[in-house]
Amino acid sequence: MKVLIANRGEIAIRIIRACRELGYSTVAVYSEPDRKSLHVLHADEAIPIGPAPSSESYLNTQRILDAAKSTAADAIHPGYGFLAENADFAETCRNEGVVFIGPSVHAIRAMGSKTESRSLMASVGVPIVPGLTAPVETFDELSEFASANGYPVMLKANAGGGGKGMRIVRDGEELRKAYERVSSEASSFFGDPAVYAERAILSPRHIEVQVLGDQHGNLIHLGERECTLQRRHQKVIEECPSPVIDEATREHIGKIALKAAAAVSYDSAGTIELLRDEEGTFFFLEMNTRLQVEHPVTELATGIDLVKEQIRVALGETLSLRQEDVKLRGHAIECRIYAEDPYRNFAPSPGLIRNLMLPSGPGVRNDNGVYSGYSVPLHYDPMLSKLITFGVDRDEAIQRMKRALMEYRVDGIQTTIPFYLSMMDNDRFRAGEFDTGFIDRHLEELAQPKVTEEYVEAAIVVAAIRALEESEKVVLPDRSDSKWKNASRFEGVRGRL
Amino acid sequence: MKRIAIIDGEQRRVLVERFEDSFVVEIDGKRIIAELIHANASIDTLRIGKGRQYAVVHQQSGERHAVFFPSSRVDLDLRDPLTLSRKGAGDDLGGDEKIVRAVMPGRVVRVEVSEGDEVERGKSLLVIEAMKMENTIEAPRRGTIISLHVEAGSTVDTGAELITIE
Repeated sequence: MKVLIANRGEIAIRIIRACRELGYSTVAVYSEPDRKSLHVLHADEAIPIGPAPSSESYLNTQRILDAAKSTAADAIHPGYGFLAENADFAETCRNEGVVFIGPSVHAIRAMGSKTESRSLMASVGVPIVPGLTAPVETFDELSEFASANGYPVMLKANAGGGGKGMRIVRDGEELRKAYERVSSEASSFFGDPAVYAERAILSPRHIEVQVLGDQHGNLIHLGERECTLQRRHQKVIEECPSPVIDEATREHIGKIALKAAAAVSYDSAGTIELLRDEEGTFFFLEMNTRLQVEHPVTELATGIDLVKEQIRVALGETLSLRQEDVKLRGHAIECRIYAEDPYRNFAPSPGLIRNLMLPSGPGVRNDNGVYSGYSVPLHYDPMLSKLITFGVDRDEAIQRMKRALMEYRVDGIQTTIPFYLSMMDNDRFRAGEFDTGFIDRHLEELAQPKVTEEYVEAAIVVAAIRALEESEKVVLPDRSDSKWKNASRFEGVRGRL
Repeated sequence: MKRIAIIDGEQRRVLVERFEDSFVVEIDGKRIIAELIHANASIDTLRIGKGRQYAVVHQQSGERHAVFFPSSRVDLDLRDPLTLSRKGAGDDLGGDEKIVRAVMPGRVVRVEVSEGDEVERGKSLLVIEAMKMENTIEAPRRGTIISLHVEAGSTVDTGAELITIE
C-alpha cells in the first residue's frame, strides 16, 4: 500500500508517521519553495508539483493526480486545508481508482454549504443557531430578518468557514455596509457571494465533538475539544476535555454530534463544531469533513490514533472500536506555534531558523514541521508546529505546557511562544473562564514582555559578553588547515612516496 | 572594554572584562560575575552571581542587540563611549542607521510617506504583506525622508533598503 500526502508541513509529517506505523510507503509532494521542507525529507518518495502559489501546486488537482499515477500511489490523504474539503477532488480521485482518505462526496457537499447544512440539521432535530436557512436574495430580505430578530445579528458567507467571511452587526445603520463587505469577502475568498444571517450569540464558547465512522454504518464519538481560545477567529489553544463539560453534558453533545453525522451517513473522521451560549445551550455551527488541526489532544486523552483509524476506514475496514471503548482520561492541551512576533502585533516572521531546540520530557508531544537551517517560506500558513502536553489533570497539563514552552528555543525568527507562556500564567485561563473574545480583549496585556530590572541587567550582561567575545575574534588568513583538504593533499602525494 | 548601553533612551555605563573562566560585568558600578554558556551559535545559558541561570537567545545587528528570555525580550544598543560622544549623545537614541530595511521578505502594499516629509519615531512609513498578513513598518527615529527605494507593488527581501531617513 502506498499513500500520497497532498499537503505540507507538520500535518504531512503526522500522516507519514501514521502510514509508516501501518507499514505503508509514502509519497510527499512539494512546491518549489518547499523542496527542502521537513515533510519532503521524511517521505519515501517526493514529487515536485509546481511553483509557490498554492493554486499552482497544493491546490492543483491535476498535478497531484499525475504524481499519484507516476508513483502508483493507491490512496491520497489530503490533510486539512488545501483540497481536504473539495468534493470534486474527492470524486475525481475515486473515479480514477485512487482511494480518497476522507468521507463520501455526498457528505462533503452536504456540509460544504452553511445554509444547506443548517436546513438539513434542523430537519433531523439538531439544534441550530436561530436564523435563516437560505442565503438572502436582496438586502431588504436581510433587513427584514434583522428587524424581526433584533440586533445584534451575525452575517455569514454561505460558503465560509475557518473563521473567514463573518461579521457581527450591532445596529441597523451598520447593516448595509456589513452586508456589502461580507458579500465581497465571500466572493474573493470562497468564489461565492451568497450571504445569510443568524442570531449573534454573545460570549460563546466554541466546543467541538470528534466523530469517527466507517463504510459499514458504524459511527462513534470521541468526546469534545475545547476550542474557545481564538485570536481573530483562529484557534490558538485547544484542550481535551473541556473544563466546562461534565459527563452528562458530554453524553448530550455526543448524541447531537452523532445525529448530525448520521444525517450524512458519515464514514470517516470528522468534527461537529458547536457553540455554547451563556445559558449552556448548544447549537450546531458547522461540520468539518476532514482531520482537524487540533486532533492530537483527542488522541492523547483517548489513546486512539485518529489518523490511523481514518486511513483504515477509508480502505474499507470496519471500525475496531465501539462507543463503550472510548474513555477520556487525563487532560491534553495544544498550543499552535506560529512564526509571528507577539511583541509586534503578531507580524509574520518568515525567514531562516538559525537554531531550534524542541522541548521533550514526560507528557510532551511535538507535531513539528521545521528544523535548524530551514527557511520558513512566506507563501503559506505561518504555523511551524503544534506543542501538545498531557497530564493527569488540567493543572498538570498546564504546568507541563509552561515547562515545555520554557525549554522551547528558536533563534532567527520570532514565534508566539512568549504569548503562550503568559497565557499559561493567566488566572482566567487557569480557572477555565473564557469566551471566544477573551484573547482579543486582553491582547495588549497578554502580549506584553515582562521587562523587569532583573531582565534588563541580564540582557546587558549577555550583550556585553557577546560584544567582548566578538572584539577578541581575530580573523586569521586562510592557512588551509582544514582536515579534509590536508587529507586530500595527502592522498594526492601518497602515490609518489 | 567600556560600553554605553541604551535601553528605551536611558543610558547605563557598562564595563566588561574577562575574569578567570568567566566575565565580570559592571553596570553603573554594580559588579556582576557572569558566565555565558554557548549551547550553539546563538542559544545560550547565562549564569550569574552564585549560580542564577537564564535561558537566552541573543541576536545582534551592528550595535543593536535583542536578548530573548522565555517570556520576555529586551532590546538595547551597545555603543562605544568614544563614538557616542563624537556624535553628540542623546540626539538619535533611536539608532544611527539612516536606511530603513525590510525585516521580512514580502510585497510592498502601500507607501505612506513622501520624500521631504518630517517624521516622528514610530510613524507608519509603509505596509508590507507577508504570509497573507499586512505589516506596518515604522520610523525607527525622528527625521526627514530623504529618499524612497521602493514603491507600492515592489517585492522585497529581508534587509532590502526601503527608505532613507536623515
